[in-house]
Parts: sequence; C-alpha cells; structure tokens
Amino acid sequence: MSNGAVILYLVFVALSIGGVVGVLFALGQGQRATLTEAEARAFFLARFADVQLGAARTAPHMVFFDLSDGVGLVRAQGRRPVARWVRPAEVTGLTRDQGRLVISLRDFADPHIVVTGPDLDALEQWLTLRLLPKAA
Amino acid sequence: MDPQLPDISSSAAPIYMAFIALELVLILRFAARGDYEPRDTGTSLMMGTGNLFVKILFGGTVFAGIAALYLFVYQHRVFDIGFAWWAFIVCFVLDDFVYYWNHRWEHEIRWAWANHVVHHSSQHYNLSTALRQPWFGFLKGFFLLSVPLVWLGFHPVMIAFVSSLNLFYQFFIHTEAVDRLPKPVELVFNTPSHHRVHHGKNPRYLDSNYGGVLIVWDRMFDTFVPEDRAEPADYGLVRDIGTFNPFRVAVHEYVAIAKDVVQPGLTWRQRLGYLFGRPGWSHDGSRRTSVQIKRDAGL
Repeated sequence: MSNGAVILYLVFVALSIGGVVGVLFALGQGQRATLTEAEARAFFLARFADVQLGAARTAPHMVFFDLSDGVGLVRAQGRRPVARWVRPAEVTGLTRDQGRLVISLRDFADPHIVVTGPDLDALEQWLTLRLLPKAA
Repeated sequence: MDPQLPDISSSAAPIYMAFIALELVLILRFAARGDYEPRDTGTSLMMGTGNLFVKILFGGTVFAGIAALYLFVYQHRVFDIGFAWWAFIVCFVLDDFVYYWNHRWEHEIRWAWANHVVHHSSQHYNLSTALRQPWFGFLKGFFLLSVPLVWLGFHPVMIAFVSSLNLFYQFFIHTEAVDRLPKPVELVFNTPSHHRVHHGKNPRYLDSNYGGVLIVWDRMFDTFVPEDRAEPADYGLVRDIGTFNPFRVAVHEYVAIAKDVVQPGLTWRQRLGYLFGRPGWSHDGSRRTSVQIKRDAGL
C-alpha cells in the first residue's frame, strides 16, 4: 500500500467513525441510562451478592447506597448501567469543579466519577462522611 | 517465489462499515434484535483502528521479527506442502484448531486476558463489537502457537491468509439480528447464537464457545454451551469498566496486573499467580474466578 493509499484509508476510517457516531446521536440512541432506586438496588445486588445496602442518595443517572465500607454506586455507562463498590481506601479526593462534584479514585480504568445535579452540597457531605471519614 | 496473499481482515473496513450500516437499518427500521450506543460504538471502532495502527507501527520491528522466526522454522519444515488448494483447506482447519486454544487460554491466563478483555469490554453486542480489538496482542506471545504449523510445512503467508479469513468470518457472528441458523450449520460452525453465549457474563455462559469458525472444537473439548432463549446473554465483563476512553480500555488490565504484582508482602508464587493465574484469582481469596462464580451459582 502506498503512503497516499494509507492516508486515504485513514481518512475513510475517521469519517466512518465520526459518521456512525454522529448518526447514532442524531437518531436519539445516545440517551444515558436512568434507573429508579429499586432498579439500581437490584442491579447492585446482582453484582455484589451478600452485601447489606443502606440508605440511598440519587443524582441524575446515578444512585449511591450506603455500605459498611464505602458506598455502592450504580450509574449510567451510556445506555447501560454499571455498578461499582467505592471503598474509602481507593478515594483520593472529593472536589467541586464548575458546579460538579468529582470523586477521584486510585483506579486507572475509571479515575473520576463526576456527579451533577441540583443538591450537591448535601450529597457532598454524605459522601465525605462515607468516603473520606478523616476529612469529615 | 512465494505468493502474495491479502490480509483480508485488516483491509475490509469498507465492508465492515457497510454491514454495520445495514445492521443499524435492520434494528432501527425493521425492529431486528440489537442495540447500538454511540459512545460504545465509537470506542469499538477506535479500538479496531488502533489495532490496525499498531500493526503498521510495529510492522517493521515486532511483526517483522515474528515473520523472521516463522521463516526460519519454515526452512526446517518436515513436509513440502506448497500452495495446493487442499493445503489451504487443511491449513484453515488446523489454524482454527490453534485459534481455539489461543482463545481459550486468553480467557484462562490473566496475562493473555489483559489483552483479550478489550474485546469483551462492551456491554453491547453488535457488529461494531467485533471491531473492538486489542492493541498489544503480540505481548501474549501466542504467535508461538502457530510455529508447529510452520514446522509441519504450511507457509507463513498461507497461515496469515487463513487467519485473516477466520477473523473476517468472525465479524459477521457478532450480531443479535440473526437468531439461529439451520441445525447442520449450528452443529459445525460458530454462529451468532453460539458467540452470543461466549460474550455473556451469565455464570452459565462463562468459559464457553471459544471456537473461531468451527464450533466442533468446543464440542470436542467440552466447552460448548448452547444459547438458552429463556436466559438471554448479559453482555460485558463480570465487573464492567466505567470508561469509553480507548486508551484506558486498551491497557487497564495490564495496569491492574502491575498493581497486583507489586503489592508488598507477597511471595513470588503469589506474584506469579496474579500474572499467569486465572483472571479473578487473588492471593487472599477476595476475588472470584469464573470457575468459582460458576460453582457458587451451582453450575
């Protein structure tokens, strides 16, 4: 393959990716998953059996649950939900940034959990108590 | 002079894109089974593109080295098989057998899983998922599995050609739009139905259907699980990752291995366990392997 052909091929690939993604968004396929508290609870328990889920706090596209060690989180990963057990030992910070609450983690795959919503002050306080008990 | 045979799988992007468009039309216009999510699809397509980039990037070094190894072994081959038509068929079947074990060990050895996990990291199952390919496959070292074929007398170019045909075939089985194929086909070949099972994280479906083109290997080695309509596959990983970032998708399990291996206070055996044990193995039993998950589910 000549250099010109390679460049043309790469342009085709880039346009194809952009085109497919753009069409999917335009067709309304990009809505993020929204779960009720009960759905999120069932989803979390299906993935982490034998845990005692406590009180819940919600934010758009995510539900937090009180656990004996940290919080359980079910959130949107695109149109599907994903569950995660967030333990204090892996949390490096809880910060406010441009109206968002950012949970920073020692996790390469998933280093930041960004929370938005109307009542972030109360949620920040709730999360600080559970994820950064020393700071609280 | 050796013949030039095309790498069909890597150069078929226009065909892939056309069939993705067709599947989308079938899903959105004709209510075929299936689901596309733009960010997930974008990630899958970028993973496929990255896979191609890496081949170009390392073509003159790593892949040239592997080719040199194959050619060296070929010079010491047992039989002069050549390029007869029947040789392509035999080579295809034997390469598919090698693929079965390559794929099976990708699921059973964490070092190899770190590469293959990329392909399973989508919670969706559609033709774009087929293109969600890892970038650092050569790190597995499984190119050595093809050495016996070369030593027998199959030319490396022929093996590369049939391998690309194998991958090209597998693109088309990553779909929910096709239900079951006629029984004789389902008996012998890997089909969308069989491969949906392979991508499921349901305990019943874990560690199954590793075949490439032929499903007979799974039937022979007791890893075949049929699709149960009453239990649709729940696609993705036992612990799904929360990112669409292609770079993080590509290397996250390698990073996780590194973190596990350098933990203080472990014996060398335990460190090796994190590297070459089953995915999910842990020295303190705090995680679960697929074998344990199945056992816990009573399977």
